[in-house]
Amino acid sequence: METLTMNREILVVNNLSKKFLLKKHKMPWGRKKYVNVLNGIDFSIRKGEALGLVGESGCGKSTTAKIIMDIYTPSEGTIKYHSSELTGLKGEEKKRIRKDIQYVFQDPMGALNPRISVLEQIYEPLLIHYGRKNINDYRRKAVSILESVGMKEVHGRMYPHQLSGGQRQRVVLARAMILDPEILICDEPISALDVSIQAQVVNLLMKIREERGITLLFISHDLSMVRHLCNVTAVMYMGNIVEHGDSEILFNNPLHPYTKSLINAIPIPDPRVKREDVILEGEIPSLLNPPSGCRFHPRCPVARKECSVNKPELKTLGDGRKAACFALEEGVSV
Amino acid sequence: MNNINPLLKIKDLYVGFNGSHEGKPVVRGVDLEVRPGEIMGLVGESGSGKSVTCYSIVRLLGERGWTEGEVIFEDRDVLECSENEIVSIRGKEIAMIFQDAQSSLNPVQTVGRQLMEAITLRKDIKNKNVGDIRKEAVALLREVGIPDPERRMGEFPHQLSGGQNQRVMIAIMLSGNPKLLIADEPTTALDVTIQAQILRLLKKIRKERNMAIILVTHDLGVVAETCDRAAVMYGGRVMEYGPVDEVLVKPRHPYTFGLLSSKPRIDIKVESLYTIEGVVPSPVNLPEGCPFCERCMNVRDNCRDNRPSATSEGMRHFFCFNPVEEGLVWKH
Repeated sequence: METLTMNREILVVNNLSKKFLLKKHKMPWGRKKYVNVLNGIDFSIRKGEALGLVGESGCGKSTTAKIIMDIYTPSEGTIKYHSSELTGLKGEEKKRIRKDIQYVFQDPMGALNPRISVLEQIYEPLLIHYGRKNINDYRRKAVSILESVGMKEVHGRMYPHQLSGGQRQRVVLARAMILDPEILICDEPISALDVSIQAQVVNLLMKIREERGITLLFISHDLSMVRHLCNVTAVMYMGNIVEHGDSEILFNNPLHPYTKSLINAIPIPDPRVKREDVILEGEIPSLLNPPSGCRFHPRCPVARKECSVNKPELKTLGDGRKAACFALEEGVSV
Repeated sequence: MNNINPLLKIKDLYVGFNGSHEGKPVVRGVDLEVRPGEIMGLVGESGSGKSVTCYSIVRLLGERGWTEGEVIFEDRDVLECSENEIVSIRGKEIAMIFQDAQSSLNPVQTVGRQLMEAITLRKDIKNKNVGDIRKEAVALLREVGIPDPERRMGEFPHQLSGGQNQRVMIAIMLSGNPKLLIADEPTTALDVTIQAQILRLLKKIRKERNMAIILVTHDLGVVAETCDRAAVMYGGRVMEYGPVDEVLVKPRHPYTFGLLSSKPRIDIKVESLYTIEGVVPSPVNLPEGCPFCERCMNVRDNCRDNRPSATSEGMRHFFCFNPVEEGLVWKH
């Protein structure tokens, strides 16, 4: 853990915002209406770290990842990777830098080309980045990487539909790894898999991380899996990070009222464990008409007048974690 | 507990599909009992046969499937009932809710109209007028925790959130006041905080109306927090069943053990995850013996060809020749 904190930050996200234009008002004289999906989030990833981004649907966790991958352009904010700014990169430079950040999608069938054999898909990134010259080397490299994700050479000649869901996700992982990326972004990589297969893929991810020292941004709604896999966790709610810190500290003693109720809502497969029956009331408000002040105040058990007027900033607390809540700033226990 | 007459008794049930899976059954000899007022968890991965078992209880497979065995509800065999009889059972005696509530509802009718339709279909309404039915519908929506029910009556399913649509489905289900509810993954598509609300609602309904519930899920956590008893299914068969306190605390079947040890916990730090190697088998090439034999850590020579019979330990039963030791914990 000590060495990790010594490492430098390789990806710094600063004040990242994203608003989407609503298509409903097409008339030129009509006022354009936007929906704010991300409201200025800040975080950074250190080399070798595994950051878990958690939250319920619509909280902006996938949008964040897609902006880093340049699938969406941010409305505001910067993303710094080492010394280069990722937003606004073009041409060869973009290709060169982006090669070091790879992405794994939730649905492996959708991410693979049904008409290309597995092996060809795995080495296709090499063709794109290094040309066609050494195709036999590429094949050899693809086979060895296929074996390192726990599959056999015969699978390389197969097509995606001949594989099981877990095997497909391994292929997607192999393809992402073939360029030796520094950062791997996994967007719900196990949600589509069966319970018994999830552990296989997660153990594989942990092995890859150990062997290659890869930096991981892991997006999931499965908090137990994030606790297991990631050493740092950021909790998001309606486009904001509400709590961010070391996973063990955060899960053992959540401070933000949203983190608390989120963790409390996750069922534990042990009937002997009895917990307080604190269930969050209400639902996530619409992003089209977000609450004023702190976005969580209408559902918050400890909300006060101030919370509906001002938005709390993400502030560092005594134990090194960050949280955005007025009650915490004053040291009141929530 | 054992002396209580079961509400539903499934005996040696086989279910298959016509024209797929090479005619091989996907449910292969399931025995289960559901007692009045209990919540019974049916756990398994996709393809384990848990949903198909539920569909055959209310005969929803229709022409597509064939069934063998007995499904005794109170004193009738549902599988032998005439079409008229089964219509009088569905909704009134046994009701069902599904994973995707929005596609269970009609998108072009208001939720109020759909709820009122359910009430008129299921109640003796000769002496009632529309106003009374409407009042009853509003009361049901209030009972399932929908805020501002009068206004919601006039809204369409797409205007409601996933959790609220599931509440509407529960209200429709309640209108028939059934004795047994089959809930097929009712919270899988919902966020965890909403899942907790819906599970709490189901527990409240069970308590107030003494309704038995079969809760189909793949989440052992949901089972632990909601169910009284649970049956773990794999490859079309029940692997282990009994009180949740025993099945989830001291699993004896290697599959139950594997499932429990392959999932990390939110409340404690787990060093490493157990992996069940291999993949879920297709119903077409399941072995004669235990369906789990190919992936089992305790497999023996006789597992492949012989079907293990039930071993009973108190209230719990498991089907395994070589069970895991009681109280075994996955060591990392």
